[in-house]
Amino acid sequence: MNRDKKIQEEVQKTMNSLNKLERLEANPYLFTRIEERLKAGVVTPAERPRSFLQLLQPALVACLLLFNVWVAYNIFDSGPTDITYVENSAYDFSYLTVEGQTIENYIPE
Amino acid sequence: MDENVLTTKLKSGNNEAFRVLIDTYQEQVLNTCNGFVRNREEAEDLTQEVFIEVFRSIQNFRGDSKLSTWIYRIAVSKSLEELRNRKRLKRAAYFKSLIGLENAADRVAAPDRNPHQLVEDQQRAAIMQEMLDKLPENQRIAFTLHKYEGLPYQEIAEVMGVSLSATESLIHRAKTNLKKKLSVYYKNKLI
Repeated sequence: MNRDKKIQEEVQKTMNSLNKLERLEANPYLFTRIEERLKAGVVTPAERPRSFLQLLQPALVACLLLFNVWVAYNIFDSGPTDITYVENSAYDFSYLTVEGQTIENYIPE
Repeated sequence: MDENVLTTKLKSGNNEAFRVLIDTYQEQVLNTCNGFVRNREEAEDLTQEVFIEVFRSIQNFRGDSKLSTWIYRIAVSKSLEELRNRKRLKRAAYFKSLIGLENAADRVAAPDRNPHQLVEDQQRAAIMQEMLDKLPENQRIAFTLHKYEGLPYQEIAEVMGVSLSATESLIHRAKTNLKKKLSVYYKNKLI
């Protein structure tokens, strides 16, 4: 019990130490220092010039997108193929033709 | 100078208005920053950065809050950024020391402590700072603004962008957490 009481006393004294903190006093030369930094062109992180690679990044992304679009276009719009379907009206079904000839020519007897 | 007049003159780039701004608010900013970093030199550097940021961003200040609230927000933000940098540098220095690459430049500024002059209250303040470092960020901000700056709850709520009841809750939880951590600390110390 005494130990717990002692602990709580220490805790309270430490919490109360904040009430005795000294306040820092203002620096009379602060304005002059800031003025000098502004005149010297202090660069904040937001204003820091970007590296060449960072400047190139948007252009690289745009190129990659265009390349993907071009590839997709070439895949889905490959133009006339050698294989076409021809409707055979006599038999009412379609024949597959290869290079302008019916597939029958390619079926081994 | 009236705050509206001061703001208008700042936006027009009036140098004298900027001097008035610094004279009016530098002590609050310095002590707010010191409440987080507990190092005079760093607090002064941060104070400069806060006012440079104010100078650069004054055109964006819409007057929705008081000028002092806006300045406090910048001070808190810069202080937290500095604390994050410190942690990052500490981690980097630790890993460098593991592989034998540590140098003097890697050492992070320690809180002000003069071992020859530390009296009991200063020792306790140093222990408090250690415990504050372990609080969740929001609780730490609210508690620091309340205890170190003496800001009223309403102003803390405006600085943090939370409700008054949220501020009260944060400060209450901060105090409870600090007492718990201190209890553990002293329990271990008295073993």
